[in-house]
Amino acid sequence: MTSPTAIRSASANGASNVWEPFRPDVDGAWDERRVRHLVRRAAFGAGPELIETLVEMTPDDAIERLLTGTPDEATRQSESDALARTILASGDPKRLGAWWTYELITTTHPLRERMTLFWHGHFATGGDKVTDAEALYRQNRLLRDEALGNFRTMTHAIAKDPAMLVYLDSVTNRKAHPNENFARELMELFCLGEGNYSEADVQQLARCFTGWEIRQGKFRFNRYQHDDGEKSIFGRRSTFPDAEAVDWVLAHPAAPRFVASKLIRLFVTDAMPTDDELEPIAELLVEHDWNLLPAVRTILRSRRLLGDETIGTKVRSPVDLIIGLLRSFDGTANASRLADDLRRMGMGLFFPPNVKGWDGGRTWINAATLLERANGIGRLLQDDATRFDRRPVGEHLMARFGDDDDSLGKLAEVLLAVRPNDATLARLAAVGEGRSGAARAVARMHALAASPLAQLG
Amino acid sequence: MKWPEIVREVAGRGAIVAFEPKDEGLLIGLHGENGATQQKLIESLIRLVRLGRQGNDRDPVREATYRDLAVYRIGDARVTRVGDWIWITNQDSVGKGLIDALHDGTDSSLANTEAFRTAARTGRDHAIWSWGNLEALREQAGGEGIPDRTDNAIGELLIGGLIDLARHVPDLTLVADVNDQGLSLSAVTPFRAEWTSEAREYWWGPEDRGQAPPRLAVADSLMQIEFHRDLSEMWLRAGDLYVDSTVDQFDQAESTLSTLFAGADFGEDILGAFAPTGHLVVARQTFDDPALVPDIRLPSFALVFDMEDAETMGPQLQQNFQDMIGFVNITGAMDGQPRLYQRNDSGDDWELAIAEYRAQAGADRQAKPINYNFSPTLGFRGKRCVVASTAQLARQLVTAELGEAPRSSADVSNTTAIVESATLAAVLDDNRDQLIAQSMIDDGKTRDEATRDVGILIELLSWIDAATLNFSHDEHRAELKVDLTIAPPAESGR
Amino acid sequence: MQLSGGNDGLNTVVPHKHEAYRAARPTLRIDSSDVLAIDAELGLHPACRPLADALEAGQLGIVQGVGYDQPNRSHFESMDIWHSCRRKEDRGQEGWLGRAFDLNGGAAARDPVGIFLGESKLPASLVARSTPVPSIDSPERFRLQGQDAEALTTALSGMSSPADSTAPTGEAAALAEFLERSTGAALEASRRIEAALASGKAVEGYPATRLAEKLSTVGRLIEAGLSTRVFYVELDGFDTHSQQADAHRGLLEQWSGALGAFLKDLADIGRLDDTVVVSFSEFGRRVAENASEGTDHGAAAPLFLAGGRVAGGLHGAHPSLTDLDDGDLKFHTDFRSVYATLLEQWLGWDASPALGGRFESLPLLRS
Repeated sequence: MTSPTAIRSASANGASNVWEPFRPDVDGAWDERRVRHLVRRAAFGAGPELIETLVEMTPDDAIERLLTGTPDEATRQSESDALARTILASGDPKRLGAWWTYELITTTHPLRERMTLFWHGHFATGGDKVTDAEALYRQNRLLRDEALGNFRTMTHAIAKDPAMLVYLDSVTNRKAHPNENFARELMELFCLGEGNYSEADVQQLARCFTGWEIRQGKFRFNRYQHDDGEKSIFGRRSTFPDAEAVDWVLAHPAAPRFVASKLIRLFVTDAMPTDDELEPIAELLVEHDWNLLPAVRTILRSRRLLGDETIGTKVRSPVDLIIGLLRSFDGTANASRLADDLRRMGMGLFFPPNVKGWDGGRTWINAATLLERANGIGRLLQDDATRFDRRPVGEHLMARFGDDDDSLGKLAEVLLAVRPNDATLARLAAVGEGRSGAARAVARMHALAASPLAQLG
Repeated sequence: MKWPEIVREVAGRGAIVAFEPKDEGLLIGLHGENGATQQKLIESLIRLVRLGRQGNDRDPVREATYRDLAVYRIGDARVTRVGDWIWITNQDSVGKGLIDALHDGTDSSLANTEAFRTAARTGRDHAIWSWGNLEALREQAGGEGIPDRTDNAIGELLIGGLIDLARHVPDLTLVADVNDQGLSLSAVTPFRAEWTSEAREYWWGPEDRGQAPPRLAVADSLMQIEFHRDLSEMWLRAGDLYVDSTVDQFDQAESTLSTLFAGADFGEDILGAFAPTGHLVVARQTFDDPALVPDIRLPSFALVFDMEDAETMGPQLQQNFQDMIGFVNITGAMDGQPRLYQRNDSGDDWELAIAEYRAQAGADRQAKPINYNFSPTLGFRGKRCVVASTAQLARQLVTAELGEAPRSSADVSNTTAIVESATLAAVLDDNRDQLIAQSMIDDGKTRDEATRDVGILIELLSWIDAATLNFSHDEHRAELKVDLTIAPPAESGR
Repeated sequence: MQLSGGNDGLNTVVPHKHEAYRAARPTLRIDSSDVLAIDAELGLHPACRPLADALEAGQLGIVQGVGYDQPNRSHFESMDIWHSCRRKEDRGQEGWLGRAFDLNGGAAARDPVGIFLGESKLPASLVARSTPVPSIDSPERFRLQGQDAEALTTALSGMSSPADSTAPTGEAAALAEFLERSTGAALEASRRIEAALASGKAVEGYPATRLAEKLSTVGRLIEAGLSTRVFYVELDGFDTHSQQADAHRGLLEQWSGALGAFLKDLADIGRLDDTVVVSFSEFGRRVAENASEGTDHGAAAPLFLAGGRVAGGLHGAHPSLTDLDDGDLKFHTDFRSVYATLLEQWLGWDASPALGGRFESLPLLRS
């Protein structure tokens, strides 16, 4: 079924919709390379078994599989909750980061986890300021529950989320002194983007949230501190009772375009999307009343995402790099050590740099973070706790790839989006020379995974 | 079969420990009375190790044959049995060399060196012995030696005196005995009064006569240490004991502590008010109020000292205690921590000042904070002063009776200690869920794997009963003795 | 250099002859015979010998009476004010330096524009919206580690993918080129640091303190030619409410010893003239000592600038010891004027947007 939106935008632009589905017969083979590209973008890589399963499926079925996870998802989710509750006993947000790292490594629904991480960056809240680990965990649950659900529901919940309001210094908000922090971020960072509102809008919107307070770690509406007078936001005059102001912000025409832009940048490109790319996704969001699934599905199925020209055009985030590496080998590892290393690479889970979250793209890369990436990978591969498919790393590599001249090339096909040329492979293969089989295989993998092309996804 | 029997049959005729510094090769030989029991022990050990293996895991035990002998490799250890000897080493080269030598005979074995034969005569009556030439070790360490002053305050308090000895003793003999209860290990060195440094008088006591007090009778005890340490003297001598940066920290700490103690001179007035002997007690705690059971259950711990002048010090310390709880409440409130409520309790000749948490009404939080492990308490009975992390332990200690004076072959026992393994296992069991979660997250285990691993750990602990330690000396020799009492597995027939 | 806890300015730059000082500090006062003379009236605490030497050499400027209007006496709040230049009501997340980094291309810089050397959380002054400001707890973090480090460096250095059939094209090619260049630059910077550290020549002369260790690392990073503009270190413990004398002496020794060694190090590597070291604290302490031979939270205090091109000597008068604001010294120089001077005259950046207003520059630096 073709949606009216798609017809309209296609005709309005006088060109075909950029989000046309990928067709294996026309656009390129549905093979291992393309499936690896898909799981790099949509999940965090995948082990050989899942790759094979997805190659056997049609593209649509494969994407549906990623969107829904596995049937035992509910059981796994309750186990994960139980683990989190035990971890919360320490009360330390850093341990919570280790817990999430463990989840990222072991989850059976990686796409939902990827979306949760994306929303964590979108509604960024940090454990350096919100020292209450339980509040952070509850926010994380909220983001996970709506990760592929409804953006409106999520935004309303965030507006009353204790961790968020503590992070934005809004635990008290009196009508005599409206706190502008949340109102500003709601428009600038969460829904609209800069340039789509005035300072006066910020001041007026801030009045709507007076009396929204956090007490004993819980949201409380203090009616005596709420300003129930008339406000004027984007030219509309109203008292904006309850949470109507949130809906009014979401009704702004910039809102669907803003969220569409972030979704496209999550999956497709580090560049700013063009209008042709933005409009159809924005319209899908509006059409489905902020349900995210149709928009995400359209992006994932598209030729724009799955076509050859998109492979290797994003800088991988630290989580993409590290968790992707582990998941590609059905690996397990010391998650608390990894959480520390991710933090050093610039992506501390529950520790975003500020309320703006991670900028992504080229800003992941600088001298310090590149060295941390190389060293973090080295520590991961050398650590005794790290296992690939339950075996020691070197042993697994030897069994799977052998140690002839071609082994590094075969490894590169699993690990990298862009295959290095032979000269580069030969250079990297020199690392670990003079060592025995398994140790050499580990050293070579370290070199490959730390190399510039490995940072592309 | 009982443990003593097992030990006798496995290693009853002696043992040998050799270390080869060049290759860092370690060789342990156990000479038993019964080769078949030895073989059974090796096989049980292998079964235990294989128990820890997971589905797809490689076999953790590798078997090989070298010159017709079965050699098992478990982790880094290579184990083989030759006749009534079990040999264990960490290096292939050492193992092969040994087997070659046993087969072919050689002159260059350890038994042919003179020093070894001398030490061997000393230790002949014991099941296992070993001997070390410390002068050679010190030489090997180069000119570095042991620094005069340290930056490790806890380490200094624990083993400061041993550092004095390590600086001077020419040799050390390690002796192990097997008896009906288990194993006893002891390190014996010569002792000379001139080796103890003046700066460590706080540790050794005047004329090196500092004597640890007898042990207190404590239920559910996890660890107890009895010691002679003059903390006031240590504090005032910090400049001689610690490196400058640590001394600076002492100065800063003194500034803070004096604030807490309302301007009193911490080193002189506060620490000086206590006798130079004391007890450190760690015990398992139980939780009565279900609303206040923390998710992580820590043992309680306490310090017990005698006061020099109980009449003046008691009320002053009470006051300080109240001030401090008030301070903790104020700073804690800023971080959203629950508050402590104070109350007093007393009996015939004792009194307690208790600060404790109360269940919070309407709190629907999932996590029970670690704070609930604490109900800081100050207790008095006559000269005795107890500072404890829980009221439960304080109440026990304030009236606890002193046991017998430590038994030892020498005049003075400076430091004694006991670790009770069953309590340790119980404390770990209290925190089983936490340990499992920790193993999952820190070792990358699945829940099933982690559950099994933690189970094995707790079971292994139950095989040991307790370990006691006694550091004692007389005019000529010093001895550090560890007794390990072993509880054999209840049923070995599986 | 952030001196956390509130340094006692009065016992750092000491008005030793002043009757009011001597009367207010019966046990803590420092006598004329002990101070290191600055001029006839003022002297440095005797633990500050290295600073006295720097003053002599014209390398130390002391800005007196620095503070701000309606001083706040909470550590956190006052430090936040120094970090953000904003009062609580209108404070965002960013600090004054972070904002300046963002506005001056910090996000795109090759080397980090700011580096924090410490284990604790990043000081709020460095928090930026888009500029990454790494915390480095040791220079070890800035090089490839492990037994393959050398081979890895060789393999990854100067890597470029020559065009062949498998070479990426389009967007991927541009990104690949960017990553190859960045990797090369990172390894180059790491090599420069390692070489500087390995030479070890200038590292001598630092006292054995954690602060000195950090400054020695900063010296190596500067020597290695990093284009970093701001290095930030912290010394904590200045909250001396009781038994202040020994604790404060120890802290001043650590501070001045490390700073003195650092200045000498910079001179040895020829970088003294393009470095300025700023030492500040969130507030000074009360004029009168308390009953515990300590001092409580106060207000205005001196701020210290050191380097080859600072205008040496005293700037501004010592605040009056008799005309007090609720027992505290009154400020006459707003700290944001010092910041404005540093931003405009030293870093060459526009000060107003970073500070949230216009503040007059002061003649604290020589051109």
